[in-house]
Amino acid sequence: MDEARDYIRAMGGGLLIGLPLLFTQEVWQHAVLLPAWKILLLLGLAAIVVIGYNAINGFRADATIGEVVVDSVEAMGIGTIVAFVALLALGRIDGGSSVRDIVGHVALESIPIAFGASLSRAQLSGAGDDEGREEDRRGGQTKSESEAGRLGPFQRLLVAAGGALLFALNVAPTEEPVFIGVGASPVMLLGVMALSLVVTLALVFFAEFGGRRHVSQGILDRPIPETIAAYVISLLVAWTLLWSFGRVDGASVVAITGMVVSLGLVASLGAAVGRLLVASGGEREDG
Amino acid sequence: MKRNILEWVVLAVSALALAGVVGLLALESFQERRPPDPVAEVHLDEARDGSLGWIVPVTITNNGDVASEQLVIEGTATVDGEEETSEIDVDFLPAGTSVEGEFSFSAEPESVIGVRFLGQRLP
Repeated sequence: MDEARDYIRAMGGGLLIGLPLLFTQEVWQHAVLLPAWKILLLLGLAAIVVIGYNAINGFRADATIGEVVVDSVEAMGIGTIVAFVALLALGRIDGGSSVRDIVGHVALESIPIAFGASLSRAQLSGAGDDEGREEDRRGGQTKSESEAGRLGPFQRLLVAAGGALLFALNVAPTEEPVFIGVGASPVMLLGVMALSLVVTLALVFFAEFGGRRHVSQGILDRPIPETIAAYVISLLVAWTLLWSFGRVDGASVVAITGMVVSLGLVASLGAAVGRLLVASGGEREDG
Repeated sequence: MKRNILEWVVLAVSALALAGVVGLLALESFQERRPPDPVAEVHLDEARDGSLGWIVPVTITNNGDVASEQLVIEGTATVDGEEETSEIDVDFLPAGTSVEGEFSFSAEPESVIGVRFLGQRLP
């Protein structure tokens, strides 16, 4: 049964991506302490990323809007259910927990699991099939591969935001970005910014993971502008997460800048990996 | 696209689970949140003689809608004519949850055990 295999893949992928946060104490506390509307907001951001990701992947495979919505609901739903079962198994929620605590835990932990579920259905299955069809690919390329290279700048930046959110979410709830950000001198922070930009530029455009081709149509298609745009988005994602987890409350502008830049390193790497992962399929052909 | 029963079930369960989570969170967003309100229930009937004194189990519950941090509960009782106190520190007590603790006195108190809430940190 193909469908059953798909769902098992989604649950497995979701659990794989979600496990680090299931084992993070700060997330359990945030689940209880964060106001409900902030958790809703984070869920909404996650939904935008999941829908956007499914849309970008789905439209390659000629999916209708309805199918994209169904896939997204399923990914978020699988995230919710897997989170609930995992939290029960880990003893983070039990019969004594209040409804508010259970919902808070499940909602927060479901976000990375939903990302993992979407990724594994679209990406892991594709990657797995690619291995098997290495020979076929040389002969005739499949539709999904030929269209992947046509991701517009806006779509690539959406993917960048998704990757940034996925990576930074694993780090943002912990205390470490606060320590690093507050402890860093301005020179160090400038160094971290330079490092983020150079590493992501090199990863996406020169490391040739899948031999990226250089398409120069608009300004945002060129390596340096795309890298800078993706970095700005990564910083925005970092700030949003820090704000959501209450890290910026009462902090000075200097401290907030430090936190955003330090978490931005993680976010920008996620943005780079996201762009590589989603955009690599077709570009390999032309590389 | 043709959908089989499994797909319908997954979609229905997913939609329900999502609607439940979003609905409850939305409800919660509009609800006024009462500050943490710790309550202690002393279980005299379960008290026992320990090696280092008389042990009295207590259940501490947070009846508010906001978690309490670094909560300190003090029990006071008269033992052999002297006033004795015993303290329980609770690191983190989420709203609506209970935690079990135990007071300890040098011997079985002759008075009622008075319970006082010494302080807490707000999240």
